Amino acid sequence: MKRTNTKIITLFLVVLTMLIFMTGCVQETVEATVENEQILNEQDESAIVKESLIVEETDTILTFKDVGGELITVKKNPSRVISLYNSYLDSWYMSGGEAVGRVSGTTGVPEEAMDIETVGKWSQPNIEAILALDPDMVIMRATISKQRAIEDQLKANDIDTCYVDYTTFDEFLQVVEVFAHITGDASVFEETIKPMINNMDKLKEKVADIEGPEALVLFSTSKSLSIENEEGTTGAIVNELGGNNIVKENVAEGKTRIDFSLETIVERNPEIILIKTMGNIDDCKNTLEVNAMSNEAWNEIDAVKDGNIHYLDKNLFMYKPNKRYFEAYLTMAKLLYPNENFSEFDSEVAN
Amino acid sequence: MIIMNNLRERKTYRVSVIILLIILCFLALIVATTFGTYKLSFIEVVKAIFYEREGMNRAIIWSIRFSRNIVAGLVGMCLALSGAILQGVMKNPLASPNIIGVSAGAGLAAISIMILFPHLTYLVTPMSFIGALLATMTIYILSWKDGISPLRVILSGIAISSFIGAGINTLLIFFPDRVYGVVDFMVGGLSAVGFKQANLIWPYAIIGLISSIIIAKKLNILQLGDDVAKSLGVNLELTRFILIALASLLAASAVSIVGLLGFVGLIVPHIARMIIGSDYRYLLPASALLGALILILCDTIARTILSPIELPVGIIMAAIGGPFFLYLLRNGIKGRTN
Repeated sequence: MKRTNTKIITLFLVVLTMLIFMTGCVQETVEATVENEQILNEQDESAIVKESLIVEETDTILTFKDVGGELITVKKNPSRVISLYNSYLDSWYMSGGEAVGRVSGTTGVPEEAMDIETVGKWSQPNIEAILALDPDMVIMRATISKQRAIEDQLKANDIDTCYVDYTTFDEFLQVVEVFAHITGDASVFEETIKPMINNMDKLKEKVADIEGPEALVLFSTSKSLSIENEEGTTGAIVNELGGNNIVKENVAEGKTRIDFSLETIVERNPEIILIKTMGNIDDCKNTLEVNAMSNEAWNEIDAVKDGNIHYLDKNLFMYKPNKRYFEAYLTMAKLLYPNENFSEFDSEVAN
Repeated sequence: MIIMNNLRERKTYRVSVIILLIILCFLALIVATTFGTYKLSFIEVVKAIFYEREGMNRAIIWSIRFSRNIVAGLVGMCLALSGAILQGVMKNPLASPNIIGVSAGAGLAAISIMILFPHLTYLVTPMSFIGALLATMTIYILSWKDGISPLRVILSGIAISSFIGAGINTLLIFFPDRVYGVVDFMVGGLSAVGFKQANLIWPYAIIGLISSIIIAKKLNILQLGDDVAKSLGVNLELTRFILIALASLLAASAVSIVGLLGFVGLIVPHIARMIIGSDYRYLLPASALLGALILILCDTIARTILSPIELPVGIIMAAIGGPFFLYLLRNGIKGRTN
């Protein structure tokens, strides 16, 4: 009986040892798998984000470069965030973030953030309203001086300032990566960014062998001829899809809109004119025809002769399209290549 | 005899200066039409203007470059005349279209439309014209107290312009996302203007030139002081009203087309005065011609210096005109002013 008990105990111990060993192995395998996934995600990210802004990262701190090359350090997983630019609030929510405050206006504001507190206008943020919400991080646009002006007061109250800025799709991805690392939620890459990029690649592949038109991107103002060069949001999309933006000149790095010579526009003779507007398209059309495009020299341009003038949707081309980037690309492809059939992409457009 | 000879000599000099300015204006028009972003030889330019009726050369030279130079000349003429008349009627060297509220009135009207009613921006030109005239009338009425004194007009002008300026700044602060285009208007520029705008402004320039010939003698009399003017039978109030109305009409027509181009109205009459003296019979046409000449040349620089990118002409005017004016102040034509 005693020997039987000893055998049972020995067997139990062996089984237990095996179980512990196996559990250890499984755990190690799970850890290894998670590690592999993380590595995979990092590899995916580095394949997606061409030039990461992230400089250093620990469990609690993230350091990244802003648009001017300045190093920004913020604490990860902030619980109370305010965004002083609504388009960036949208990117923040896309990246798994939530906010307690935003600036006034509804353009670009995600549905979930419509009812959160407002803290003034993006051009005039109200420091008292910001402090009253007791935030631990404020997302700001690096190029707005009135937002820069409150930096010292925020820092004095131990509030992190998260400066970002983007114009092109690649810059948008850089900012999304920063946001995803702050929130600790990388699902945006798998769920939104990767499908978006796959669709864009397919779209670019479809038009790769077609000769793109000479294009002019015009910004509608009442008095001057303002042109967007190839560094602007729309100008960059035109070039990426194989079109040729006829304006490559610039006056300063980062300046995408310039007052341009009408003589040169006539000389370069665009085949398509894409017009960005801020208001109602019919009204802007009327304004542009009465003022900036009233000169009869426009009639010498092929795009005008052929009636190939298009007024762009401001939500896709004037403001940051964010999760609607693919829709912006698809819309542009249809305008640049009207004889091509893009119906296979229609179902991929985000709602 | 010596005095008569001096007067004759001075008259010959002044007439010669005016003839020279007319020649220079034509030369400037030729040079400005020849040079641009699109490179053409002088012969091709002449062909495009006189022989060709269609094609790219014709479109660029005639519809874009030549028409723009014509507008530049007419705008320069209107603003300089307006400034010269105002400096005379106010007897103040700092008087300019800004002082009678033209810039502020036109600015508020134009910026209100651009920001609050962007769908109605085709109304910017007529509304800024109306705004300029309304501001001038308000200043005139507010400064009336048993007649008009130049000092009260200037002080009322400063007060009203400041008040209107607060309105403009409020709009700019509350609608920063819509200020693009407003900046162009505030700096002043000739981008995208053509024969359409020339047709709007030429009647005012012609009216201004003809009126300046008619009113020049009265302006000369006003320089002698109110008592002397009255004793010579001049109706002071009526004359001042007509002169201020004419100046505001000229400036409003220019500002509504090119925006708040303030430098011409202030500096050009001073330069003209240094060259030709203070006799308004010569000063007014000289100011008009000099205004046209300077604006044509400065706009040529503005559209070619960073070609094909264009700069607003207001920037070039201030950058070149300011130092040049200071140079004239220190080394100007001595002995020619009276």
